[in-house]
Amino acid sequence: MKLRYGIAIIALDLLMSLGAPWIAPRNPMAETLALRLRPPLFHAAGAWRMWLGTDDLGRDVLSRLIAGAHVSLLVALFGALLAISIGVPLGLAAGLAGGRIRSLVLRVTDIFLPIPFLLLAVAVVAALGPGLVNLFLALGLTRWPRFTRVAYASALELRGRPFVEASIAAGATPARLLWRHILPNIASAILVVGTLEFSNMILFESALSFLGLGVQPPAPSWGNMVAEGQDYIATAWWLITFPGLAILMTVTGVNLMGDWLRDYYDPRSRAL
Amino acid sequence: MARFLSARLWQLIVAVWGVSTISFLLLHLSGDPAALLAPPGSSAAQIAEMGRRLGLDRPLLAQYGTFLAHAARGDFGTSFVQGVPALSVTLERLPATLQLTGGALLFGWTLGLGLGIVNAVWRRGPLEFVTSILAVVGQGMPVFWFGLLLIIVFAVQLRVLPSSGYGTPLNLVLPAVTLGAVSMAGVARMSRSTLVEQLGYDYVRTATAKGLGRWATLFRHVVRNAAIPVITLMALDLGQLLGGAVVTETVFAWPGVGQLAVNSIGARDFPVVQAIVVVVSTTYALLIMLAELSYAWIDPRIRFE
Repeated sequence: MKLRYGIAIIALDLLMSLGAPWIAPRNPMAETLALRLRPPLFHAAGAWRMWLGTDDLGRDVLSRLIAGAHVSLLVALFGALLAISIGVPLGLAAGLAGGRIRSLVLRVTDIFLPIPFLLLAVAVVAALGPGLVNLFLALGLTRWPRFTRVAYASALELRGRPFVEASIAAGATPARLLWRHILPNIASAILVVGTLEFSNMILFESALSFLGLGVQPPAPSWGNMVAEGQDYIATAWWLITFPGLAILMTVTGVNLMGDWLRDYYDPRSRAL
Repeated sequence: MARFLSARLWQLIVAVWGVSTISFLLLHLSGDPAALLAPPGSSAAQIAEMGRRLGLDRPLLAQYGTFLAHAARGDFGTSFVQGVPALSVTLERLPATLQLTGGALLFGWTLGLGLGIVNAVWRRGPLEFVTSILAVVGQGMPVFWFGLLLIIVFAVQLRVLPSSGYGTPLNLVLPAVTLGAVSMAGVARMSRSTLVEQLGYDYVRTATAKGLGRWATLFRHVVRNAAIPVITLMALDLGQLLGGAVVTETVFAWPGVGQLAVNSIGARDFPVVQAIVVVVSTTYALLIMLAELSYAWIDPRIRFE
């Protein structure tokens, strides 16, 4: 159930994200002022071929949703990958090397902990300026400590396991140890946290874009579509409803997928 | 106890120092801090002049020293917009944010704990299904979107609650519900699993065997034992709430620190942004410390060494 729903949603998102130019029924940027603020098709006043209605500039909401999927997923994916590539090596270094490196890494991670994440991301975007690349930098640069902790805990545990000690005793080089023994064993944990973190990133991206700090209009993103629809909430409910639903469904799908992965790799967590 | 407190205070100081350093580095992240600090629309010459006046042409380490010395005295510079110290601008807004966070915590936790308890006692009932749906949806819902939906329903359609404003308890309802909904989902799930675990222990059977009623057992014994993981979650949750406040305050025009942060960024009022990062993080670190101190009060077996 979790897996099916998760896969269905993710497949739909990928289709929208990768096939955006081909499957969008209209040009997401094309303004047709004659057709502005039309309600969705199933509504009595809906315009034909504007399935989910049009916005205040007469742009097709469905096409913008599809184009927005591309941006939102891309930013979240690269943000998560950046966080992993900063966080995991640090965590591994702390867990395997020990000594000064460990205390330095753990101290730095601890410093990031009490900072409410969204506030920090907002401040980073403020310093870098809004934009797509800066958005994913802001997400990656602020979310890595979580991966550091996971990688550190796993590496520390693995370090004491007999097969690792045996491998060290047999004279394995650090590179071989890392590649053959450590990485394969922490991959599942990183995958689970990475999946859940990916869905967090979608939420954060939408929040930052909603605040006007992420994807800049007129380019569509789910977050800035909600922000643009805000002025019309009394008259045009569809402008904020559909992008919000898109976020909700995507995040839920990815979360369920993450839950399923966690159950799969760690059956003990399923009990409660 | 005194030793624990001093160790904890020391950690707090290190954390505040670290956060200040991050907030200092933020300004230098973009390469040219003078361009960030100069009022919008300044010419290149004005920006260079600004940089000289603020000492931004000095070596980075020297600037860092000055920044720390000033920050230690609570001086983050002057707000460009209001012309008063950035710290006092921030502190002025803190009560509104704490009020919102408190309201959200109250709403999310009362409902979340209630749902968790009911679910732990009547397992596999219809309520369990409802709770699990709520938990999944609650974790996937963008805060700002939920806030706008509430505005559509309660302010635009039903006209029973104000959509924005500050001051009366009625104004607090929608923002607090919006922000608290996110916590509720997690709390319901966590408290349920903790309670289910506790209900399986021998002391519950003993209490039942000596004739104690179901609810008396629950509230006198089980809830106390389940309190510590729940309070740990509450402390962590506060960070999420303080972050979420940035968005919620924008949606409801709530005059708190979050709204100030967004406005200051729009106005490129960077000293205020720096002060906000430090003040909010310090507040959060303090609240986490209080949560840890409460462990000993809840569970007499815990001694701080």
